[in-house]
Amino acid sequence: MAKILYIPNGPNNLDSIFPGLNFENVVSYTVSLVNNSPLTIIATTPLNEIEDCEDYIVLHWVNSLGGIDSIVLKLLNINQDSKSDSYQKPTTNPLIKSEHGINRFNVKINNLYQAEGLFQEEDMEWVEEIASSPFVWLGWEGIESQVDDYLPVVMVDKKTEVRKEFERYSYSIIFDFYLSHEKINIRG
Amino acid sequence: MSISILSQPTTNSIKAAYRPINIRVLLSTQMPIIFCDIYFSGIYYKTISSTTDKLNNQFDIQEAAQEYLAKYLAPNGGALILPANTLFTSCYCKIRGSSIDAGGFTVIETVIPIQATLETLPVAGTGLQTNTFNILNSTLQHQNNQDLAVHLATFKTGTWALDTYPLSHRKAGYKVKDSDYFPIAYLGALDPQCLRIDYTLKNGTTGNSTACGVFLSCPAIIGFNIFSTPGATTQVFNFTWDPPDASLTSVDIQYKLSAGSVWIPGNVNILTPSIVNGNPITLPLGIYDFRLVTYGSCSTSTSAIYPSNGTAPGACVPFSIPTYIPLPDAVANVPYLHLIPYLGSNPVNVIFNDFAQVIALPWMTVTATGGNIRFSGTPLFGDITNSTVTIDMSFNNACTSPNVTIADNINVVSPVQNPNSYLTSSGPILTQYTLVKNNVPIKVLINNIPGNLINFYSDNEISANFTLYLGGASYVPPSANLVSNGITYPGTISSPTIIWSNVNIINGMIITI
Repeated sequence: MAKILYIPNGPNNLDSIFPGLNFENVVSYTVSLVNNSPLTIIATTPLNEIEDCEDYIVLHWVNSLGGIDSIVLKLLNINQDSKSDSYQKPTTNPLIKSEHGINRFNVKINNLYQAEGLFQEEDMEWVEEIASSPFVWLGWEGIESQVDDYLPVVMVDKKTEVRKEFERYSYSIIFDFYLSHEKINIRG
Repeated sequence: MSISILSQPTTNSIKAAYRPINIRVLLSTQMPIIFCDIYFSGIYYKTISSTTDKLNNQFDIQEAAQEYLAKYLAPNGGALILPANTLFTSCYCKIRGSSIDAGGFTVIETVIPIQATLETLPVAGTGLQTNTFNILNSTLQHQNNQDLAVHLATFKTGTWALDTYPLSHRKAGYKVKDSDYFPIAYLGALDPQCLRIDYTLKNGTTGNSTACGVFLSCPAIIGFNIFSTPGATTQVFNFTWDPPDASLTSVDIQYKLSAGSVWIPGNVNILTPSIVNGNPITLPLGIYDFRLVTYGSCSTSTSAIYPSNGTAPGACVPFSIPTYIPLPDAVANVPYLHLIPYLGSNPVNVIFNDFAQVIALPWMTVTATGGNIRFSGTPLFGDITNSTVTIDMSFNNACTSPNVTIADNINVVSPVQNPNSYLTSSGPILTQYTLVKNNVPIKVLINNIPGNLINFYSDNEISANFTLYLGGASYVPPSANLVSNGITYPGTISSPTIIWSNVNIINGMIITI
C-alpha cells in the first residue's frame, strides 16, 4: 500500500533513535530508510549539515510537493509592533486624579521577526518556496512544562532578489514574519 | 447508449493535485448529462458532471483532489517514521451516462453512489471505471517536467528504490537544527522499519549506525469476536470488535482453512471509531483460522491468529429455529398444514412438554424433517375447542443442548358461512355454529343472534338429517325450528348440537333459534 513517510532527520529527532551518537560532535550526516529483511536501502536524504548556533531559529513550511521543509536562519531582531485606537473623556469634576482622560482601546500587539539566511544561487529556487507557502511555522522550544512544538507565523510580502548582477556566489536573504496569533489584551 | 474512455491517467501513475487531472470520454450518442463519480482510496467522494452537447467530454478532477488532500505537520522532535497519508491518495472514477425517455424526462444511469455522512458509510455506484492512479498534494511549476514522477526523481541523491520519491527540493548541504523531517513518497510493497545514519564527526571520523523498530505499528483491534452460523453446505461468519483506535482506517479480515497455509485477503472493512462490525463472510463448511491486517496512520500490522472457527462438513449442526412463525388457528374439517423452517442436522427429536395438549389436539401430527417443523392433520367437528390450547414443545438433535423450546396457542374453530347465502358443499370459514348434513358438513352459520331468522338457500334435499353445531358457545337455545316448504321441523337440542331428522328441503329453508 502506497505511503507518504516522514523520516526523522533533525538532531532532536535522531538523538533518541541513535543514543550512542553525540550530535554535538557531528558535522554532517545522511539518513537512509532501510528495510531490514531483505536489507534494502529505500531512500536517502541529501547531506545534512548541522547548524548548532544558539541564536539561530528554524522555520518549517509546506513545500510545493506537499511535504514539510525547514530552513535554519539567524535571528536578527524581534520588534514589537503595536496599534491602538483612543478616545477622550472630559476631566472629572471634582477631580479624580487617577481617572483617564485620553483612553486607549482596541490594542493590537504582535511581534515582527527578522531573520537572515545565506544561500548559494542554486538554492534560491528552493528558498522561493517559503515565500509562496501559505503555511509556515517557527520551531518552538516548549516552556512552562510544555513539549516542543511549532508556532504558526505569517510571512510578510516582499521582493527578494533571486539572481543578482554581481557577487552571485552568495545571497543574503532577510525573512520578515510575524506571529499568527496576536497578544490577547484585557480591556479593564 | 455507450461511453468509452479516450484518455486517462495511466495505472499507478502519480498526478499533482494542483495541476489538471483529465479524463476524456467519448459518447456514442448525445446525452443530457454525464457524470464522473470520484473515488479516493476506493471510497466514493463526490460527483462532477457535464451537460455539454458534445460527444467528446472532459472531466478535470483536480479540485476534488485539492479538497480531499491535506497537509501534515509531524510532531516537533518526533523519533518515529510517521505515515502522512493525508498528502496522497489512490483514485479512480466511474463514468455514468443518461438518456431521455419517451416522456421527455432525463433517465440517469444507475447505480448512483451515495456520499458518507457522520453516521452512514458511503455506498459505491456503478459505471465505466477508469484506471486506478495516484494523486499527491503537490503542484508543478511552468518550467518543471509535467510528469510528476520524472520531476521528483530529479531530486534523488544517494541510493533510492525505483518506486520511491523525495517530496522536497532540498539539496545537499541542507542545514539542520533541532527538529526536521524528510518527506518521501513510497509506492513499494515493503514495510520499512529501520533507519541508518552515515555521519562525519568534527575530527573527520566517519561511521554509520542502524536502528530498527522506528515505524509506529498500527494498534491492535481489541475485543475481536467471530460468530459462525452454519447451513447445509456453507456457513456465515460475522465479526464484532471494540471501538477501534482513531489512527486505524481499515482492516482486512483474512482467513484460511486451519489445515491450509494460504491466507485469503480482500475482506476489507472501513474503520471509524464508531464501526464495531465487520462485513460477513460466507464460506463452505469447514474449520478456519482468521487474522486481521490493520491499516492507518501507522505501519501496517498483522494480528495474531484466531484459530479454529466454524463447523466442519458432516459434523452435527445444532438445532435452531431462525425465525419462529406463529401457529394459525385450525378450522374443523379443513386440512391443516403449518411449516416452520429449522436449521440443524437430522434426525430431530420432537418432545411434547405438556401431555394435556396431546389430548386436546388428537388430530394434529408434529414432525421435524427436511428442514421444516410440520404441523398437520384435519380436525373434525368434534375437535372444535371450547378454549385456547397451549402448545409447549421442545426439539433437539444429537448435538443440541439445551433443547429448543417453543410455546404457542391454537384454537380449532368451526367454519362459517353468511346468512342469506347459498349453501354448497364447498368449505366455509370461521363461525360460532356449524350445520352438518348426514355427518358431512355442507352448511354453516355465522354469528347468529338468538331469536333471529336465518335464511339459507340450497339444493333440494329429501329425507336429510341436519345437525347444527353450537361450536365454542355455551348458549343452549330453548327451541330451534327448521322450516321448508311450509313444514316445520323442530330440532332436538342436545348441546352442543341441534338435530333435525328426516327433513325435506324444497327451495331453501329457514332456521329459527
